[in-house]
Amino acid sequence: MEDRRENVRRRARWMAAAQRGDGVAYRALLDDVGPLLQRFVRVRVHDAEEAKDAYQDILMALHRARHTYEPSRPFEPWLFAIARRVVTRRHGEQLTRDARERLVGALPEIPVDGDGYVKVELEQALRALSPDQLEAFALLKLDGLSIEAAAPRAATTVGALKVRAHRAYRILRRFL
Amino acid sequence: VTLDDPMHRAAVEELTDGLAPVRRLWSPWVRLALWIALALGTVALAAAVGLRHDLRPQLDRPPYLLTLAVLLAGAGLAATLALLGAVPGRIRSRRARGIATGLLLLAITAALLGEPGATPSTRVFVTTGLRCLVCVGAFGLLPWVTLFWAVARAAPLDGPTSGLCIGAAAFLVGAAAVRVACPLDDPLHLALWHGMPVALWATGSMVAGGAWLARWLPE
Repeated sequence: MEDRRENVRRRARWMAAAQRGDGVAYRALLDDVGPLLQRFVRVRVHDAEEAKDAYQDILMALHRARHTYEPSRPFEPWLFAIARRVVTRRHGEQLTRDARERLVGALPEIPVDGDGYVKVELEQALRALSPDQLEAFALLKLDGLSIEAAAPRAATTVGALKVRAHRAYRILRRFL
Repeated sequence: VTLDDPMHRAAVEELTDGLAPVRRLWSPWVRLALWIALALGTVALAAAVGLRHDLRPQLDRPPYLLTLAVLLAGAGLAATLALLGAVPGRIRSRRARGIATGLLLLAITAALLGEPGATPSTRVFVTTGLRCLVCVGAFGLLPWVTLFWAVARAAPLDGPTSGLCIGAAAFLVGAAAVRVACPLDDPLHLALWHGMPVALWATGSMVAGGAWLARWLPE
């Protein structure tokens, strides 16, 4: 019980420090809540790839909302309200995507007249990518480089390039 | 995903790399107090520029006071929901949606608390009514913009619900302002031209909230 209380206090302290720009405290906080969030996601999202995406989205949402955290209040309700919302939103998007894919699957014999629309969609999708994501996509999928070979070209680490590429694929999937 | 997973490590690196300090939001209660001051100022302005010359005696009448109190209390409650709902973990969205819907019904009911008078011609009914409809929007506009901005600066989890609460709060202030400015007390006029605009503008605000307020969430 005392440990739990101490955890709550420690996370609130770390988050308050992160709000002041303390990267070390922020890293400690993210590593500390990582397993909790992973458990939370695993219970609600059964597909492994989807669970990875949801986990990343939660970390990103936490980061974007960090100015709203009030250090006088416990950290966990704030964190899990964000996590719950991200998972619910992704679930809703997944349902919409499934419904659309099923509809497309029901129209097998209609020929496609040209690729004009596809080009427009592709252009829109590529415009939605940030320069970093576009570079990651181009290196891995257009130039066909391995992740290890592409990372030095993009002047980044293998892990960071993976994240950029992963986000690029998700954006492209949404548009195409 | 484990903590040793390169994906987790890369995400943490990306978030912590060059982490800048952020300015913490003021407490929702401080922001609410400021917004209420603005709302009361709007109603005071409407009383000063309005066409109602019997305002002082009207304020001594309990039904009139009750209508104003319901409209302003509804506005305050909706603004509270909007501001608290924009801080994760402060309020559950489903409950907020229920309360916001209840507030809209309350506003329309409050608008019905008038006194039957002489029936005007259709032309007069419509022209005076349209003026009130526009005035509810006009008086509610500044409260709406400020509240929308205050909510958008935070992290609203449910855009449409936040938008509905913002709209209900701002345009209930608009309805209260028009109630002190408009000399007509006919229940039909109040229901149609004071009450319905609140529902209309709040619905528009819900759409705007759905489009803009949840943009901070990763896509």
